[in-house]
Amino acid sequence: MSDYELVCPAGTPAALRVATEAGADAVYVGLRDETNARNFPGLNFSVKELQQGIEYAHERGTKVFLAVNTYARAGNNKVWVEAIDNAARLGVDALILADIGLLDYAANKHPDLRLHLSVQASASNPASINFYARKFGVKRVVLPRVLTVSEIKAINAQIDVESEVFAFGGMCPMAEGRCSLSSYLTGQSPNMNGVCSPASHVSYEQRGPILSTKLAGLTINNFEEHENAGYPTLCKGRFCANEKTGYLFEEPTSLNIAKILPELIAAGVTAFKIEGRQRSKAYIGQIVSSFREAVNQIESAGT
Amino acid sequence: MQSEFGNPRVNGARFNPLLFAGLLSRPLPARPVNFALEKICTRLARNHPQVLERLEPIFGQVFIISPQEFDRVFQVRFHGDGIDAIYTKTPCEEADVMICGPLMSLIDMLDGKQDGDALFFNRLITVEGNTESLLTLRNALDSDDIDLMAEITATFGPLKKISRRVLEKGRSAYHTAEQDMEVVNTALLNPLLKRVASLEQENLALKSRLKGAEKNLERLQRRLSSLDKKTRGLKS
Repeated sequence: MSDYELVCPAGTPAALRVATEAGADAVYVGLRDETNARNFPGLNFSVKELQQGIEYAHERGTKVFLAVNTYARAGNNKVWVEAIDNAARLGVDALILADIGLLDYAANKHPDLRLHLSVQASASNPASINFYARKFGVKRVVLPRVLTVSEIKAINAQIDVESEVFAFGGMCPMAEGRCSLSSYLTGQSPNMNGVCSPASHVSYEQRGPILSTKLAGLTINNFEEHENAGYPTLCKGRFCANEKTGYLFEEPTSLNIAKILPELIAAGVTAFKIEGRQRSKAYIGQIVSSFREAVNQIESAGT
Repeated sequence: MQSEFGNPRVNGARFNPLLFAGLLSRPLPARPVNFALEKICTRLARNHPQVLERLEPIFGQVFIISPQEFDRVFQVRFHGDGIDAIYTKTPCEEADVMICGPLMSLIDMLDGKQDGDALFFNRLITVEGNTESLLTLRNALDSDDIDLMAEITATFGPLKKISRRVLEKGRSAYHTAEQDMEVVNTALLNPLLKRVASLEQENLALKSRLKGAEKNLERLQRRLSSLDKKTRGLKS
């Protein structure tokens, strides 16, 4: 186990095995329902698969975190409460929560269960983080991707809990936990339904050499033959305004903090999270191995 | 599912070792392939029930998997009792999803050796149809460790060890040949790409000259108009 925790995604049991073998210190997973923010078809774990996954990971010294990080439906939080009870019963190493009511339930019903505050809670200042720590005993906060290294350092100086930052994956600079852009077109958003730009609303059209990517019937981007394409999310769409075509909201760049790992460690970060529970096990294996190597190099250099 | 914008099998085709194998195999009957497919599907369903469970939302839907090197396609349907797959020249026209790409990329994706998203977004494979169904299939297949080679060679009965060795050698030879052909591709395309780049430069230079000429013309027109006004003033 290294000083800094490499927290890796596992959307399926096979991905959990791959991430564990590739050197993850911890893997985070979700159940196959609306309780987690990656509720995609064919993805995630049944309760039995979670149990088997925990056994597999623990035998190899890897922790398992369960993400129950959507907001419980008004008037019916049964499925969320069951997820928390299952997490406690099966012995997950931490529960990643965002909903204040679920945090309260978990803290009272399972006081020994370690709680992490999901990025979906959008806690990005010391007052907010300290509130969650004081009120529910949260041990770690996952910080939003909108923060700079100096902002992270300033926050860490004023909080008593561990911080986790995103290390690799999609760059999502919208205020995480507060973005409803997807719901304007599809009626579904990450916080409430666990999906951003759900696949049920996505279509791809090949028009000769041009690939059109669409969301709810609206063209989000047209890719020329020589261009790499991307998943159609509104925030990364290429639109025409004032007679110019371009990425109006944000460029579709990926996040990779490998080069600034030492700065982030110096800023007091405890854990580095790789994004991508919806990605294939081939991708997971490759990225986790690369980051394992990067973290090991920094540790052996005594940073 | 034939795209209205042309045959996707032809659109993205590049030189690769199987392209020739595909051409040579065209006159051969599909029956032996279908016989093996039936056995492979039975084994896959028996050995990976949890994958089948994840596929439940897309039971009954028709998937067409179209290796771009061959003139036939694999038509696949999942259901509660297992998997039906046929290798055919005349697939169902009402397919829910069509996936097209180089055969080895499709096999590597199924084997979990290649990232399907990367293949698609890098434009190496094309997909058409119901994206949610496709995603369900991708996630379900990726959720378990499917050793496709083992499932295929198991159908050879007592010859499975030898056939595995042959297939592994074939796969390795394919990847070597693929790299060699990439060199050929580059060698063939480079002169063309250079010519296109040079034409593009010429085009830009001409556009710039045309723009300059348009500006001069506008300036001359303004001057003429001003002279015209002055001449009229002198006349009056």
